[in-house]
Amino acid sequence: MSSIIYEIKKSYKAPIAILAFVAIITLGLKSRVGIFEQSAIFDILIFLLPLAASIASFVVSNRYGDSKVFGRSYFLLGCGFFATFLGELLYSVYDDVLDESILDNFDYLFVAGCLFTIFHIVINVRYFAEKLESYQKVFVVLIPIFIVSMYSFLVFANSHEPDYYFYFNLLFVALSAVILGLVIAGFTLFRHTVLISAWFLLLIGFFVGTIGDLEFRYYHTFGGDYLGNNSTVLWIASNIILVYALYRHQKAI
Amino acid sequence: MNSLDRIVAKGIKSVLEEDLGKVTYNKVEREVFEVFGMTVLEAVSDFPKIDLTLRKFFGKHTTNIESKIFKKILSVEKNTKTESTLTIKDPIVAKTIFESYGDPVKKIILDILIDNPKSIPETIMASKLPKASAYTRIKEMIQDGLLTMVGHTSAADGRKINEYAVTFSKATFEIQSNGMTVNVNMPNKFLKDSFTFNSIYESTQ
Repeated sequence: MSSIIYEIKKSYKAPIAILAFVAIITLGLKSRVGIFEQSAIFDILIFLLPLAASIASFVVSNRYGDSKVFGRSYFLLGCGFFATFLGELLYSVYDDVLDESILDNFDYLFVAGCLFTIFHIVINVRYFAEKLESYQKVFVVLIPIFIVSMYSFLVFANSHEPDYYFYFNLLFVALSAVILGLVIAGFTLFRHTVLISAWFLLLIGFFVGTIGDLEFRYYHTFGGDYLGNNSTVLWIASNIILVYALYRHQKAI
Repeated sequence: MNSLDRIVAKGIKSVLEEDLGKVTYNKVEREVFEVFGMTVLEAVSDFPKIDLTLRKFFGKHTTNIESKIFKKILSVEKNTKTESTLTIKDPIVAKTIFESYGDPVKKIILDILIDNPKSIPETIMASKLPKASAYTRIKEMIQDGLLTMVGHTSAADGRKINEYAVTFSKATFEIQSNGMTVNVNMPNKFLKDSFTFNSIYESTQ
């Protein structure tokens, strides 16, 4: 247990520093009226950071060659981030440049991104553990149920009828929640290995990203304007933490 | 050091590289050298050493990884009271065994030891081969796990020396399009202290 605490102590400062840095920049921009909404920095970062994470994943994958576990799983994660990058890029091009609102058409890229990420985690978990412990199974099942229930509760608490937008956004909330449940199980699995720091950072990165997804999907269900809300900040912080997690992985082994 | 573990040792490198990458294998290799001052091949032959190193990297999941590695290298086909039939699937390990049976000098040595265990000097004398050549081949076969130490005997000068027997009582080679496999029969007394065999056997029970 002490070695786990020691490893976490070594790693927890980085995500806090990243979150604080992104939050300070955001607050700084927000304090200047109108700048945040019009800021191109966030629009660019929102699609550039998944690209950075994708490149980092491909670098890690390349480091392990075409090995069946690390090589393949990090290649799939790279594909996932690349799909997210394409989605964000097309989103930005159509929304900001062409000013056309066919935004939801690119959401299948985010679904692909989530599925690739799920495959990545499953490959790692299945190689290292013959089967999950009972408490790990609880994480994989209960966390998605809890998050999906929370999202549904928040939506219905605001007298919203279950419509197309609710079910559409529910799919993304569910996918994010499944990823978070799997990453938590993955972290508990790798806590006694040299990969503990990398998986701790992956956990924090995906956790922050899931909160961002949840907030975005909540606003999207109500057809709200989501530019300028906290989800953008959380996604940016999440992607930076994930890039750092990938760096730590290739340093560890 | 168990003969089967020695045989499997050659396959560990390829399987670790195939599953976790060359970089991971190199890290394991460096760690083994720094801690024990030996190569991975030597550490695998003395299994607790490689096990300890892998545990440093992968914690309790090492057991699972080892079991996966062993299963890729060989499988237990039949298990009777006295003998077990194993299939060696790893091409590198299979090739090592095949080359030993294909080497004329090694074949003569294997033929001599198949019925009765003998010491190295007795084997060299019975083979009527040049001493240096026969000695080198015997040492190689011990290192590769094809000969197993079964007991002791007294030399002409009264010294206590080791007696060796052939590890496999039967070996059948199958050459297929996807590579070579070897089916071998091994006495259970050679397997009882094998880390590899026990790991596979326990996981299939």
